[in-house]
Amino acid sequence: MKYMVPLTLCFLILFSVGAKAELTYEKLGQLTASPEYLEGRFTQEKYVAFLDTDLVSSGFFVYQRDKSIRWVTQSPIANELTITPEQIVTQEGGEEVSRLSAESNPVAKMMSVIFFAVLTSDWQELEKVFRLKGQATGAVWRITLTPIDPQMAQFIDSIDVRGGQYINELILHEATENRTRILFSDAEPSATNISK
Amino acid sequence: MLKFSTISLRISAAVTWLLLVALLAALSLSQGLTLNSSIMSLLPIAEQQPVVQIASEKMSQRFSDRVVILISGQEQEQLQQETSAFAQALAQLSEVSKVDWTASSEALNDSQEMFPYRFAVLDESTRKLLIDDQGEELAAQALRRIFNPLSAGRLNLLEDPFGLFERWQTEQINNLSIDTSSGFFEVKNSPQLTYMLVVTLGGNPFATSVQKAVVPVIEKQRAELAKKNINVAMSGMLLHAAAGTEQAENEMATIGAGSLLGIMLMVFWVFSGARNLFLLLLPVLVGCVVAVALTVQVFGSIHVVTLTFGAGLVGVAVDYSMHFLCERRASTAQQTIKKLWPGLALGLFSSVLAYAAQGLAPFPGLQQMAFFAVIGLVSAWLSVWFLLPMLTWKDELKPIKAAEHFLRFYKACEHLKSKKVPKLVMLLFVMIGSISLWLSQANDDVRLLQTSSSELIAEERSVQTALKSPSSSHYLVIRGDELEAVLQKEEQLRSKLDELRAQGVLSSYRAISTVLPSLARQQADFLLTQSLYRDHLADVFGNLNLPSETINAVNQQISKGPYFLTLAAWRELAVAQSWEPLLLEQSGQFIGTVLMLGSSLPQEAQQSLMTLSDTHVDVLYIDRIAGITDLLTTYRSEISYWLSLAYLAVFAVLAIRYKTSVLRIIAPPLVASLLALALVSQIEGGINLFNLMALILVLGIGLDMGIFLQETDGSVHTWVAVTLSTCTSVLAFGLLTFSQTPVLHHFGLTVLVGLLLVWLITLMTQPLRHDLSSKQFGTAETAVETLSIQELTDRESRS
Repeated sequence: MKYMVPLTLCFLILFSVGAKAELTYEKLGQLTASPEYLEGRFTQEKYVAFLDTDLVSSGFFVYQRDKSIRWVTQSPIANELTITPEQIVTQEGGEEVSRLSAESNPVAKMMSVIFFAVLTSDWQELEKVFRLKGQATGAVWRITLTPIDPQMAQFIDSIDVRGGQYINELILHEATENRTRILFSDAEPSATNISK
Repeated sequence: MLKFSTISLRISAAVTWLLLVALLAALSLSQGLTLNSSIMSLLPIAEQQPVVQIASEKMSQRFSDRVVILISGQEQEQLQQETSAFAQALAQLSEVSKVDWTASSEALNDSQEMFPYRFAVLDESTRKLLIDDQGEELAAQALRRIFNPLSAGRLNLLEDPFGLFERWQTEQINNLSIDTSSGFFEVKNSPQLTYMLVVTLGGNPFATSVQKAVVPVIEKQRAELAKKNINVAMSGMLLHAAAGTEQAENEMATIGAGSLLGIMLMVFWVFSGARNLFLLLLPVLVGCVVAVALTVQVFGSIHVVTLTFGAGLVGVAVDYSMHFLCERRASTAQQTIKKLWPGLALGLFSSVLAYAAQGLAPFPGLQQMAFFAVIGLVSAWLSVWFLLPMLTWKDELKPIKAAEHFLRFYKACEHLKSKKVPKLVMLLFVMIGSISLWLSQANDDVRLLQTSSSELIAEERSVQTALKSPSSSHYLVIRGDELEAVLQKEEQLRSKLDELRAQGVLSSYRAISTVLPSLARQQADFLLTQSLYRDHLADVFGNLNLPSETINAVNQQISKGPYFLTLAAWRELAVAQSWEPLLLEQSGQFIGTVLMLGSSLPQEAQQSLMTLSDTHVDVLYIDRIAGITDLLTTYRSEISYWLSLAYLAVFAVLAIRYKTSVLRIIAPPLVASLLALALVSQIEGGINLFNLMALILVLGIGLDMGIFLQETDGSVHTWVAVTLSTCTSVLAFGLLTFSQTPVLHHFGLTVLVGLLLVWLITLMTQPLRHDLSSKQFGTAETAVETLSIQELTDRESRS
């Protein structure tokens, strides 16, 4: 009985160490799910430094793995983006307004690749582009991604991501003082295409 | 006493001459031989305006200084590694000044350099929206951009809420065929992943040293990459120049060696002795050395075409030594000189006249050729004069075997000559020839000058198409003293060109006013931007529920003062580098701009452009291909004119000495030329410039034949010399018919046919002095000699 306390302490320490393990992409891959279809709601807060306010928008999204992401903003403006690896199509009121091919704007291309990867938990893709630092507590994790390429570092300072099976929150810190924060909710893998 | 001083005079003359030649040779060797194979240098210095001259120089420079390499493969990582290795292998060469293969990080900073000018320099779509009063559309687009999750890092709500700068940037990027986002120059819209390398040469692509240093490295890399399934396609003047050099070298080795061997064998057979071969070639060698040295001195470099054509002088110059040596077998050196002096002098004079005639044309190419030929002929002639008598002083009289063979041959021909039928046949041929010549066409196609193989050209074209490179042979030149006026003119033209583009007639164009708009336009655009801010800024910020102070702060940005892009400021920007070639300046003074057009212009487009050029005084539509074709036509008509003039001049000069016999001298080359042209035009489907140039050679040799035969009154030795000369010239130039280079091929074919005909016709028109010859060939000549000695003693006894 004399050893109870030190033993318990040991176990507790071991547990905590085990629980708060340093993360790798591999481990993240094990923790997250990457379904064929995923839909959910989002709230986007863009913090603009010079205005010292957040520009808030909300809506829903639908993604098909490796194919496309539909990003539908419902408030304050109605706008629909369809992002694929090759192009970004903007629609308003059901009509196509613009089509931007990935080749025409390299920075937009870069952003769409990252966005795609983060949203769909494509850690292999992100591994090529970011350094990972983070921790997991059980099934919940928190990471910070920092860009490897100096070109990208001109735009993005770091990306904080937090989630469990799916992503819960994403904060993109820009090289300036601006940042974009997106909160995800009601994430559901679904085989049907929903239009709300 | 007289004899002695004559000999010593001769010796000193010979030595002086040799020293002079050696000096010239040393001089030219020390300076190095600069070979020039550019077509441009054949073109006459512009009777055209300087602005066009400078434009064409700049346009051809673009092509000649660089080698563009496209590397395609399946796998990105491997391709990137190979591209980098390739680039580094080339960058190490001293003949390469730089290799561009990666988009540096400075490039990213450079991309922001136009930001201060965002209010005055607008892209086409923005301008169109503002002119059409569609400001709210811009506002809506701005809002979408603000809420777009992907626009993180590029939003600058304070300085550019409408994203005007990004819109301008996107337009610029869309116009490029290269995507630099991966850090490499990736070619857009290509079936396979393709990266581009641009190699800038540090030397002249026509210099063989540069070719031999760079091309083998490139080819080795290409072969290695092919094994790894990576395809390499290239474009650049260097490759064409190197291919041309290689072809020329191969042909010199095969055709050149072949003809040299043939000539040596012939000479051996006639003169039987290596020494005689040496004596034969010595004056020719001297002639060549002096001609090359002096041409390089006077012109700075020697053109390949000059060498090719000037090699023709070998055929004429060797005549002089041949005649000397042939005659020398039958007479002493002293007598030979006495006998041949008038003939040789006239021969030289008439040939020089023929060649010099073309030097009067205002074309640098023809002038250099004429200069080379005249200098070479004169030096060879002088060498025969100074050197051969001395070197053959002690030679004994030995009849030539070949003379007997020829005698027999001639007698056999005599049978034919006497009959009427051959004469009628010849007349018939002349008539048919003249008619066919009359009906024949001229061929001035620029492809005559094309030396590159079809594969090389196809590769070139594929690279140009992949990169959507503008055409370097068709473009517009807009001239003016003031940049502002020219830029405005460009903007005016661009609306027309946009129409053509919309119709699908023109694929693209490149104008400097797209990156450097005229001040007038910048001011107009600034006003548009101001009205945009005034009328629609509230639309954007209204949706964001922000206080009015923010709008004020944003408005302040635009009222800070417009930044207008001036030429001086623009020149400081990195973007200016690739557009500089479109700015034309002469001695620091601005004179105009070039507006480049997409390659492959259909007939429709060319028509519209010519109409544009006609309606606007300061706009010139330049078509280099048509220009070169015109040049070839002009050269051709110039040469035919000067050739006729040469015939007339020679006719006049020789008539003084030979009276009516001049016809016997002139007729063979004239008739042979006509028949040769007729035949060649039947074979080739047209007569071109180079056929005519060959006729000058035919004239030269034909004249020599006629004059010498006339002078020695048909002596057998002269006949042998003449026949030998024809054979060697046919071997030397006729074999060029087999060359892959069109220039040489046409030249060679004409020489082959022309010379053979000259010889045949001369055979029919000139006599052989066989009334003096007897079975004992040697005694005939001794009889003549006895006569001369008799004359001498007679004179002495009389005086």
